[in-house]
Amino acid sequence: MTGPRVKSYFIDYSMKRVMLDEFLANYFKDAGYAGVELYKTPTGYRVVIYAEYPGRIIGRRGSVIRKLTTVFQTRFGLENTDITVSSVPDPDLNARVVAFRIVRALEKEIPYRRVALAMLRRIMEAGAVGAEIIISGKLRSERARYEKLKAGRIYKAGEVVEYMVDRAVGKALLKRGVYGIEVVIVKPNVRPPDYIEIKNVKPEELESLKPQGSEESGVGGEEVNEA
Amino acid sequence: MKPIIVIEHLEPEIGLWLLLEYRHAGLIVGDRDMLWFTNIPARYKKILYKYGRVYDKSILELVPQEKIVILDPQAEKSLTYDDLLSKYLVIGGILGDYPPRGRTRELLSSRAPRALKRNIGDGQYSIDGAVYYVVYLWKHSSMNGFKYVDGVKINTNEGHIFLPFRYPIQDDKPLLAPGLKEYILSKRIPDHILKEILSDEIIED
Repeated sequence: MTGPRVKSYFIDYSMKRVMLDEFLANYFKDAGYAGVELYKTPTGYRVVIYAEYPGRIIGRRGSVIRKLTTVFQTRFGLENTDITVSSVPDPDLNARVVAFRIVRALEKEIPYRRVALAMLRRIMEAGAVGAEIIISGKLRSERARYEKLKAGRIYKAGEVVEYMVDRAVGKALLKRGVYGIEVVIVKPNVRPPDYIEIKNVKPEELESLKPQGSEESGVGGEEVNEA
Repeated sequence: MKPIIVIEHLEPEIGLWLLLEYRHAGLIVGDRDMLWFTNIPARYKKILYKYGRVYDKSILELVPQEKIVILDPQAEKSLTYDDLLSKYLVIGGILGDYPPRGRTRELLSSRAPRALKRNIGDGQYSIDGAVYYVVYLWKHSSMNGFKYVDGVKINTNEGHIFLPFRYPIQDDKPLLAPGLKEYILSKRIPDHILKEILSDEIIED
């Protein structure tokens, strides 16, 4: 049995990570913030921040990082933090980076459909299995609605979603109201359970590949009938 | 006595979408004297008078509040047939947000404390959909057999567009304003509708 103290330790830790993530996503939209990792070290904490433009988070000679250290200490209670900022390995396949790119484009008053289509193409060119972009709000100053743009194969349910699909939500504040942007990217190089590979077999080898013990399965069928 | 349906315009502008819905409302009611458009800016008068009577004042200034029933999604009671016996039935001319922000209450109901407020179910109807609902209730004297659908999906080449509102179903199809689908897909409305909107003649059924 896990005691309440152990549970609350892990809940606290996860809460801290989520709050940190929300805070950074809120403040570093322009830097193309992508994600955060939080580790406990013997002396304190280690925070790794991923972003499209790490320079924006580091600041001139680390001025922004120094501010962040104090904010982490006062607001989140993370003593003695060591902050590392690194760039995202594949920005086009990171849902959050793409969502924030769309947000920035919409805030510059670029037509929403053109932005979404261009981003969709970019994601697919980067090698994604599938992608979906949903933009909702008062598009073109009228009745609210949402528009879904899709390409490729998209997995929506099952365990596959946990390791194949990257999903992010952003919001853009414009004159007409808030636009919501949801980006779903199905990552490449991961084998889904419905993956099928067709083997090349020569006609002479076919005979040896035929299944052998077909009688055994027949016995099993009879048993079921009797019951 | 048949109630007069009043559409109180509450948006700052009249866009094409709104115009298509007003036009459809006019076609549903089918009688110029039974549909009023109130609070309409002067420059749109010429367009809308083909479909109903147009006033630049608010309905609250035109008639006493006791004779009014306001359709407000946030009202506590539902609309019944008996409510239609009061003289004026007011529908807010708002292109809604999703999720709804309750602007009918903010802009209309709160200004009329003595008027009756009624809802038509827990969904958000389009303006022409609400008019259809009222006309249906008047004709059939109950809502038996009335069908609706929450959300309409319009397929496009790249995906689909979703309208998150409640639309009545007529002949197994959701009842969208004529020309609205074309407008959403291509930003243009069919020529015959455009010609009709811009002409000065009064249409006769």
